[in-house]
Amino acid sequence: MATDDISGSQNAAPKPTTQPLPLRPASTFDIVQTYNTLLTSDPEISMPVAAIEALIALLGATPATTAMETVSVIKTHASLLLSAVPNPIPLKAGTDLFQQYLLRSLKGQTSRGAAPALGFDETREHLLANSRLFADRAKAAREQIAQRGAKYVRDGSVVLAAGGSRTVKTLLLRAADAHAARWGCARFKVVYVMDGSRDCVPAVAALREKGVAVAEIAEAAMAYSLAAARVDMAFVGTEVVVQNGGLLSRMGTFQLATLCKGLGVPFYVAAETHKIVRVFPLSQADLPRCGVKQEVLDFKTGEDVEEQRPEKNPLSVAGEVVKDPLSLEGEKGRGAAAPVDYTPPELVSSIITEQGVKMPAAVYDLLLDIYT
Amino acid sequence: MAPVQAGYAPTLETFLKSLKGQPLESSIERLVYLLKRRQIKGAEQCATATARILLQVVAKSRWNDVDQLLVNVQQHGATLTRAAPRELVISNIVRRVLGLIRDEAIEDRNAAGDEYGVDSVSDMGALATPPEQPTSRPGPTPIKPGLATHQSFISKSMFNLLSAVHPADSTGTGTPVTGASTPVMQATSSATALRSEVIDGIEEIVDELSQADDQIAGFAEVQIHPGDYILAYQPSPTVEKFLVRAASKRHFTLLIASGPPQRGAPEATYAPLKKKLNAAGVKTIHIMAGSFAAYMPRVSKVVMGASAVLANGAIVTDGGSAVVARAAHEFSKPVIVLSGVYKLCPENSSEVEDPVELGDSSGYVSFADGPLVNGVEVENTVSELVPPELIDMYITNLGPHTRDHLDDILADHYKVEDIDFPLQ
Repeated sequence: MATDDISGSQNAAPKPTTQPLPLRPASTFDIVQTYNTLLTSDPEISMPVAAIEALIALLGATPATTAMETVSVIKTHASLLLSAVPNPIPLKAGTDLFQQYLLRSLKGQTSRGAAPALGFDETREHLLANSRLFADRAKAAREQIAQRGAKYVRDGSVVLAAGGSRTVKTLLLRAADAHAARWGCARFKVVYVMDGSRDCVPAVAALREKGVAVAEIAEAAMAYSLAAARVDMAFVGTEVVVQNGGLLSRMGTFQLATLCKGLGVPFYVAAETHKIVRVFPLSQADLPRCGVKQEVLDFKTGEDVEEQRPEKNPLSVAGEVVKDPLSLEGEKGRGAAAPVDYTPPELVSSIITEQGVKMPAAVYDLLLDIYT
Repeated sequence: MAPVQAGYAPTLETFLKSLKGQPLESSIERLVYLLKRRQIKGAEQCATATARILLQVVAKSRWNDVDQLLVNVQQHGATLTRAAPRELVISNIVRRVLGLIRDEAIEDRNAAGDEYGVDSVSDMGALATPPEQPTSRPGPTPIKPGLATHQSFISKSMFNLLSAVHPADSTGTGTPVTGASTPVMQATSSATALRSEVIDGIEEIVDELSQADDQIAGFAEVQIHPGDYILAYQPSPTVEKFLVRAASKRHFTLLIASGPPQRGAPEATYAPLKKKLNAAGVKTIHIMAGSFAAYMPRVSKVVMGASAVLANGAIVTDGGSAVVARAAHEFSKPVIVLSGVYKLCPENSSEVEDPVELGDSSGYVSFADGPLVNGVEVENTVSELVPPELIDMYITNLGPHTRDHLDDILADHYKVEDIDFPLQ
């Protein structure tokens, strides 16, 4: 893991606070650049956390001294960051959480119970001093989810895992550990959907390393495999969990969820609570309103095809794009994003979070808790 | 439902009577045997027995501070859970008692330990304590969760990621260990106060157990309307009470469905229930041998009891219920589950080891059919799992709930630290 770079880049960012130049405009700080550096330097970091880290770096770099000024600087940079990526929703989860936290501390609403409220400056200091801790906590959350979810994988069960979710991978590895501790070997099988994301291959390798029997299947074989392998449950990760408990995740999640519903297979989602975002998509067609820019459906007649060059659709999911290894990292880089779809909450059995296993309906309570 | 105990076979009543004079260890041992022999069985009985024995643990076992008490309760609770792993209620009651102790201890410390200044962590991110605190965590109680002085409460908030105080003990064992427990100085003085408070709390739980059925019955007249056809599958005492209460106000028809007739075994007639309902002017129809599907078009509601309600809304109940629920679902008839809050488990249906219990099948095949007994395996489900999508409403002693609301009830009744209880 190239974690050295990230600490370097982060230490560099807050430095200006020590000798604040009052005339230096805050706009010299490139939030998008910072975000991308953070994301590429640590393969384990998720998008919301990277967005939070970028904002913390901004907090260190900004010469703003008053509370309201700081908040407004954060706000403008957050929207700048969101507008710079094709799918801003995962980032929005992070930036919204961060801004809300800052605002809460401003209002002194952190003083519930016997604890006195930290002032704005103290909050700021706390955030600057602990930016690394937050990333570690996010990783710890993944581990906690894995521990919880591992209990679901029982003796003799067949589990379908989809997508290059690191959380699901950890979950299955923990389940293998638990089985090994109890019976001496992993007594479950995994059907792994190879959807082309770069985390698939290492995940399968890691599972096989632990002695888990893994079948790799293509996305087109999902329905067949669910029935033929008698899959007991499906685990997926997600980019974000939306307000109603639905998912906004890599293209194909909706498809798998629909298949699972149809075939009566429980569909479990492993997601950290910081992936919950205050966005409410009404349907697939509503995604552009939520800020997702993608051109999955590109209707063309014969004439259009002759006019255009074939490589002129970087956002499409057409075959040639999937073959291109770079596009698979699009989820993380800025350029082309991996397309996403919306999975309605009715298709989700439960969401496994580090704070317990939740029904989709409980997601709203968590949001309500911090936004009221 | 339970066959009459012949002679001097011990029952819940004799056990409860015997509690007083006996030392703690021997009564626990006795309860373990009773549970193993199924002389105490069923959710209500197990819950009552557990609550009573935990009361003895609090009263009689040796403890000086809260952590010790928690460990005592956990250990004895785990013994009982192992004795009857299918009775999920036992761990529920243990969790309730553990939560109770934690609550009382927090109250005590808030009252007495103000010199700390930083006592309980609010769920709002809690910026009170300096950030170096989480790292210096010695953790002398690595397995059993103790009660932390500084973090008396694991918050459930999305702010946990950013909060100054570590929301839960980070990675580790997966069990949310609350961390280092610093012994409190005013231990002995508060121990007696705590003891009596916790005992009062357990008494309240026992009261709740005994009143749950009546409280559930209180919602009967709202749910059952005049002219309804109510189908009840093998009505449990809870369901019977509910129906009898409804009969006092409402004029409806009850269809009692019972499982397939068993050879040799006396047919369950539900005579007392029928008599009571008849007295109130409610007609009962007994449907035999699984022909309830034929009546389903007429039925307006299906009522069933449960021995446990799981976090995702699935219920564990008598064998044969799932097919009734399925039939009702196919005919779009609402299925109502009656269950006390104490039967609501924080586990999901996928986490419960083996909800389907296979039992005595001699009612279906007798040994007179020698070749048949040799040649085939006859299985009879005693309890089974009804999936959540077949159930429309849950009526607890708190009132009617939808499936989505179960999460809230769980959060109100159990502490996050205790949810993983039997695994610790």
